[in-house]
Amino acid sequence: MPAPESKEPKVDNKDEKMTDADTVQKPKSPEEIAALVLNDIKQNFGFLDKAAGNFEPRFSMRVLRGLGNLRRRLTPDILVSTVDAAYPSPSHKSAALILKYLGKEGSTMEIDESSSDSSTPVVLPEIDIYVLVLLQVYLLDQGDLVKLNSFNDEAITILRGYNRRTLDALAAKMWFYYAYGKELNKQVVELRPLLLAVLRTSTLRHDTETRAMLTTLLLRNYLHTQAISQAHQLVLKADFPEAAATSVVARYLYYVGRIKAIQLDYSAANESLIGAIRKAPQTSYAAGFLQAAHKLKVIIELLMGDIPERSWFREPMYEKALSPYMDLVKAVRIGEVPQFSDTIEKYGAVFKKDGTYMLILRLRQNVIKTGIRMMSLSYSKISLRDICIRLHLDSEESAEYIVAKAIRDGVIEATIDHEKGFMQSKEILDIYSTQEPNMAFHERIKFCISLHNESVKAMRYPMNQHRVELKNVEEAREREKELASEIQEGDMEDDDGDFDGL
Amino acid sequence: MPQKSFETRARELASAFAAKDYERCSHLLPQLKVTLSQLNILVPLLSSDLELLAVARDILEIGALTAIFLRDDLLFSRYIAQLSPFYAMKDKIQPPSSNEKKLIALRLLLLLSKNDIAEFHTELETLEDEADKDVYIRYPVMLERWLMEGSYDKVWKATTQRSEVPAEEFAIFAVILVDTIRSEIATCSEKAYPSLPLMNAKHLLFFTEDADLLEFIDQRGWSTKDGRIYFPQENTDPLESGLPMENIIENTLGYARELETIV
Repeated sequence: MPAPESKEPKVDNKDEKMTDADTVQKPKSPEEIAALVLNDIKQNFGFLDKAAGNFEPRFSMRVLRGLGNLRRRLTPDILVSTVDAAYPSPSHKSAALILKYLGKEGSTMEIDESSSDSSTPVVLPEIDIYVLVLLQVYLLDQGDLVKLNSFNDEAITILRGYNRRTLDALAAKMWFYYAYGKELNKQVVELRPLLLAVLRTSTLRHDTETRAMLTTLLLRNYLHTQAISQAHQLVLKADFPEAAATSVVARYLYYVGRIKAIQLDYSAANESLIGAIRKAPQTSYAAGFLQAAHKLKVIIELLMGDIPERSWFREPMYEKALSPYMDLVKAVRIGEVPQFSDTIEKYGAVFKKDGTYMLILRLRQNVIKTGIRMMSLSYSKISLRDICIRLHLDSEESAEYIVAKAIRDGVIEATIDHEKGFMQSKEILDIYSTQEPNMAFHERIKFCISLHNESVKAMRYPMNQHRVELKNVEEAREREKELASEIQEGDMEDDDGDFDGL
Repeated sequence: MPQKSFETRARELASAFAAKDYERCSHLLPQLKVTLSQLNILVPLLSSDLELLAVARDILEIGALTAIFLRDDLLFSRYIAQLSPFYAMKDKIQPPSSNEKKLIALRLLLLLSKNDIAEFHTELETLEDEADKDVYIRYPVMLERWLMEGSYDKVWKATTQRSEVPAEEFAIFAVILVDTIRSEIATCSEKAYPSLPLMNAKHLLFFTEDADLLEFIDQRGWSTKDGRIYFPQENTDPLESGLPMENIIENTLGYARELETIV
């Protein structure tokens, strides 16, 4: 199963797993580092306050973006201080939960509050969920899967108690770690009914972030167990909210691309993947995702009959990951079946891990077709026996049938003379006299137009600008009104004057 | 009480199937399915009784195989659909079924003969490695590969020679597959050969009797002259067939509309 999908394209660099807080190499002392981190977290609380107060999702997004950075610097002590800062008393439900999982029960100041069962109104739900997410991330990085799972269950129960739109982005994050934890624990199939139920709820509540995240998680779940037809049904029936965060959209497009590729719809799959690659962040944080997407794209291009460009394989981010695929492309390009089989043998394990093995097996016929096409282009007339030898086919009969099929599929333009046993290529048609240029231009124009339309839709205006305008408009109107009334009064006066003068 | 008669009926079914009395099997099966649903094991849940689940699965498998022998495609597909949740839980139900691979292979073969390649590959994805190792599953996989490549002679050998076919149920599909191959070869030949002598055509299309060949030729609408077949030539000259006016007009109007929306 492709591991790169587990990498969050938005914020995380999974390679830097934090195993021990002391590995942070800074000249400052641990207390100072802890204080810095705590400051950051408190700042985030402020952001979340603003987000909740003004209903502006931007602040929640900003907080989440900082999650990746914070993640590497978390320690149990910092978390305990966070709990102190966030919750008014350690007996608060979430606070108690977190302390339990940190193994630090009773190590904070004991402030006995009488009302300890219901959440005191002081704690903002956003902050609550945010701290819970921090702990999820911390447990995940520690590699403590059992603890993570049981913590997740309880954390999700707390989450489902809330129903606030401002929680959307944070809730989506929490669901992600929940599902990921379950997947690592191999409890994938049991997860499905729960995810489906929550998807229903979030759709009813118009909760776009959670809906998008859950749809993506469900697709990942289905693909993990190879339940492709179910995944396909989900794609057909559940509308995906396009307004969700781009990272989720990128993931969704990747999964859709995979499903379509398996179902032989290569052109649609290609489009999805191009969208996924474009929407993913182009930094090194998204390396895992981009690598996985590019691998799939290479295969799909091969299946469609095109050869992917060599320039891709040279980029430093992709070079190592894509090197088996480069060998594969070479084998397909040459059109020799034995070399192709050898490449598959050699890199079989890698392909199986990437989940592309079955797709690559389908490339066999592409190899043969390429071989035949090269024969047809280079020779005006070639005997079937020679074709059989050069393409390492099994018999002349097979060669004849294969060539006939290739002609029917439009791979080559030729005729076979059965009695004399040779294949004769037809005259190459002047391509400009056909519809080809027209269609190619049409495709490109369509692409440019859709790009233009999407850019227009994606334009954003600075938030309060229109209020300033409104103020101006108001003032303008005031002035106009004054002017108008002055003119009126002035007119009347003048009129009087005129009449007087008469 | 229903338990007891259920077991006897199950044993009856097994013996009827072993005796190849498929009519009797198809009589017994609906009643058994009703009993299964009454006992709540028609659809396996995590809460069901595991032993009974094994029995249920065996009954459904016999049902599927009977449907094959009776050449009822729809019934077979229905049984396979009912069996799939059982196979999804296969590590929990003991003993593992010996017929599982065979039935999966038969389903693949059915999809192939109906030319439903997308569904074929979707099913194949769920199998991954087993394709190479299991003799049953290898059969439809290799067939599909050869069909796609175009080496129809290999397909012909695989379907008609008894030595290649792994089990007798597969032979039942042979007829459909041979028809498929023939029409494929015919379509290829139309494009590939300008003309073909009758003897060679007979060989290429795997016919043994001249009469069959002539009938086939009539069906496809080819013309024969002097012992050669002439295929209808297509008019490939683009200029003669005229420009596709509608397409061009539609595209150009689209461009104009889009351009107008640019402020």
